[in-house]
Amino acid sequence: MKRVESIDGVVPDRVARPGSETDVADIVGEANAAVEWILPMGGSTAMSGLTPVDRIPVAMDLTGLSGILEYQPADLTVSVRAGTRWVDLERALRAEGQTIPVDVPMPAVATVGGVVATGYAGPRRLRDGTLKDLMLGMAYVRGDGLAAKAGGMVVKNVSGFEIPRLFHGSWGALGVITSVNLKVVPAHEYEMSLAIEPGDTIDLAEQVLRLTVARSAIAAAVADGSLTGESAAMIRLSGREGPTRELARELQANVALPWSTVIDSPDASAAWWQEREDTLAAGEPDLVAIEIGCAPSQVQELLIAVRQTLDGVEPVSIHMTPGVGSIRIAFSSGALSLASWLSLWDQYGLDRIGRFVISQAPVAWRADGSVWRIAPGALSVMQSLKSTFDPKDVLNRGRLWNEPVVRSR
Amino acid sequence: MDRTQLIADLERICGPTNVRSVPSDLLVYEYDGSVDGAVDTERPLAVVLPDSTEQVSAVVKLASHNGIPVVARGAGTGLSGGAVARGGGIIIALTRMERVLRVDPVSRTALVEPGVINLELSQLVAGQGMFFAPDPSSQKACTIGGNVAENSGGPHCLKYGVTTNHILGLEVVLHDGDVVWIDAHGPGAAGLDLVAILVGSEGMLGIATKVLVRLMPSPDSVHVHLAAFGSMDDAAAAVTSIIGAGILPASLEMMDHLTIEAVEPAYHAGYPMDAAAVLLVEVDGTRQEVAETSDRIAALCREVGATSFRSAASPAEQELLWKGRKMALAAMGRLAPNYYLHDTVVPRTKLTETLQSVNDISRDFGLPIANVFHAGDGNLHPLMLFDRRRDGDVEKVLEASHALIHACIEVGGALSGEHGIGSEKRGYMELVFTRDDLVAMAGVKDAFDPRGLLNPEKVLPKGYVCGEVRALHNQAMAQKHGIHPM
Ligand SMILES: Cc1cc2nc3c(=O)[nH]c(=O)nc-3n(C[C@H](O)[C@H](O)[C@H](O)COP(=O)(O)OP(=O)(O)OC[C@H]3O[C@@H](n4cnc5c(N)ncnc54)[C@H](O)[C@@H]3O)c2cc1C
Repeated sequence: MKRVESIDGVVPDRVARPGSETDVADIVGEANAAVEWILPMGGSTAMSGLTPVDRIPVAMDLTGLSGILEYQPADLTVSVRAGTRWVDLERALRAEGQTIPVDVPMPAVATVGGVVATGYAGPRRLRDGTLKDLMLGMAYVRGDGLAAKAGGMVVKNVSGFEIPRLFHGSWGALGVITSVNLKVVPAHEYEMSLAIEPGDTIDLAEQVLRLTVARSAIAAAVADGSLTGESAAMIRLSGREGPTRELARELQANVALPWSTVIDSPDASAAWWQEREDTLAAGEPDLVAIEIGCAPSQVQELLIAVRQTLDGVEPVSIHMTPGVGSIRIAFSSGALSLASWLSLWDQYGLDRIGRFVISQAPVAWRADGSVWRIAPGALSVMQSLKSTFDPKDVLNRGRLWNEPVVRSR
Repeated sequence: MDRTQLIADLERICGPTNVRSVPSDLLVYEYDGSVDGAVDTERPLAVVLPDSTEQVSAVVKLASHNGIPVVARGAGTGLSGGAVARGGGIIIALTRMERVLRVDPVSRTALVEPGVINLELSQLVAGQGMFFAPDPSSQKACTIGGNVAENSGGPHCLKYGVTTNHILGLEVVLHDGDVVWIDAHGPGAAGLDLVAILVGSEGMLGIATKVLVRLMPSPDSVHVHLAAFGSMDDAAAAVTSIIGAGILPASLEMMDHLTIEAVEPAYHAGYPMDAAAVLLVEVDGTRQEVAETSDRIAALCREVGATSFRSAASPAEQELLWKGRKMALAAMGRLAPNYYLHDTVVPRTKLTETLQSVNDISRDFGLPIANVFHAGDGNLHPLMLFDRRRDGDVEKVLEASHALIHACIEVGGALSGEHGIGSEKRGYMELVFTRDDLVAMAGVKDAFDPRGLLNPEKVLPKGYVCGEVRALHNQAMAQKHGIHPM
């Protein structure tokens, strides 16, 4: 069994390892009685963007809750336990020629529940949407220990409130997910990728954006490089082999861009994109990564504004999916503090065009201000949901918003 | 509060011409699109037609202050009684808020008011090569606000997903009249995805006053095919083999013989009158992709015994094939004065078995049932045909409905795929969900609307409203921990 070491340098007082939904409900129930908080954990691949805590009374390792509960390929649905590693789910689907078309960093470690709870979406959201769109049903244990399910096992369902989709990106703050029902899709027969040679970051972002707006068949398109200098782009195409090759030919022939390498093998192409995900998720111990989002039509304006805002902070690396308005910047933690980032953001009025989340940062850096930024009106609705689902605040302190960390020494 | 005073206050907020309060004016607001008998009609206290978010907010504040329920309403085409003011509250009709505020062709989004008509949005942006994907058959009349509240679907949702997949942000008036903007999760968004829970909440959590929708790029190429079959089983087998081959058409719709009998003489869509069932298949994408996929679909249909397979040769012919499908409900009048439409969903692999059950129910109850539905999604639309004036018909329909819903739930199905629960099916919720499941849903309601003033008596079954929920929950927890309440 895997040992849970430490999260942000804090070793949990106790690690609970539930093997069933009932175990989860019992552990949460006990935590309620003791008013002790719990940190639910899947693969622990996304623990470094959150408000730091100074004590973790109970860590709940959910990897014991694994396995596929029901998979009916002809129905295009699968029901899977939350602690199942993403790679195991995907392997079972691939055996039937199916897939869940989302980007998952470190799929060998990340769990299904964790992927849902973080709500992460990579470059493929451009064409294929996010996991939220594929959530059909869920079993979960609320913060007060109530075990319930919502949704169902059919591809379309409007019976009652959409609690499963609400849990997408909820960072475990409302309940512990024990299993999810997902819609699956036929896997593409073929894929390939086209590279575009480096050019000025802002120009390239604009070109990639124009390309994807005009051609909805493009699966993903990113531009990576440096904020102040140059970036290079990569375009992902997938579908039936003939039409995919045809689209590639058409792009290279008709679109005046400095096309360079072609990765013309499905495995090599998929590997390139997976490696990009893994590298971004792994980061480096000293790295601060911030994901900024805006309307795609404002990418250029935002990039110019961010360049101005970070004038003098160097080097800043950049990873963009212009077609969905996603810009990830990264710099070394010594280059700029959280407090300075927040005040620069406000000073330049960037709320006008964009919004951001801290994807990862060293613990000391995160301790220097509010990690989460949510508009007050929406926040109060969120908090009233939190208090119905988890009235004693026993789940995931510091995840999702900047609650006062309970200091219980 | 005195009613005269209330009306005066409402008139002050919305203007005297935008408040309805005399019985003859209220009559049309007593109904929605659902069948009466299954849904009780009710006269609202008053109807207001606000013109702005500020007016909606002021009306809700006034109602909240006086403890009066409010019900948002779009076009009133809902099929589960959602827009009927149970308990006689104030109806806030959003049909005057029908401006398209902004279209952003690069981001492929539009910011619209809730009263914008579904089809009109698609028509407006067609020139820019875009469309709004959710396309309920009622799209000429229904509003985007209604689509959001019901999480509506349509034929193209097979490929493009239901309404919730296309909503990026909402301006919402909360139970106390406060106005908030909420974003769906997207790059850089933090916090809970409140859009996820608001969409499909049937007007019970908040009133949408602005909607940021995602628009889809119009495909380069579209083919529409019509396959005819000698039996429903063969048609269902074709659905299975198309999906099994890894093809996801834009839509995959089935119509049975009875439906063809109603539709063809009325609209001359070109459906063979002797077919037991037809499949309407639309394929879209790049030119080469569409051509290739169309050939594969034709081959698969022939393999399972299609008696004919025809492709529309022109956009006009495509439209005609679609017209038969979209007007099917309207055509039912040729067969019977009334129909009752169901909306259950079953796993696709249970389609054949379920259609057989529907057949048995039709026979057992002596009730003709027409089937016209989203076969690709397993979303059935059995239409029970009857005559309200005939003694015993309404009762027979309700009993047959009961049998049908049970049959669908038994094979792992859901109560509704796109029409919502409303007041119509709230009594069935306990068939699918446990007490704890419903307590959790009621908790969501409680978090948004602690006094239960937004669209009361919908979705949650009796006994799961506000104060009752807390008692139920305590009981559940007590039992769990072996403590028995006194
Ligand atoms: C002939 C016919 C065919 C149909 N075909 C389909 C179909 O193919 N697919 C499908 O999904 N549905 C279909 N429907 C059902 C119906 O058209 C949809 O549910 C539609 O989305 C309702 O829109 P509306 O504007 O008429 O809403 P209404 O009926 O006015 O209201 C429906 C619900 O939404 C709430 N509501 C309305 N506006 C708001 C708002 N701004 N904020 C909060 N809550 C609000 C109301 O309170 C109510 O609960 C059909 C109906 C008819 C009559």
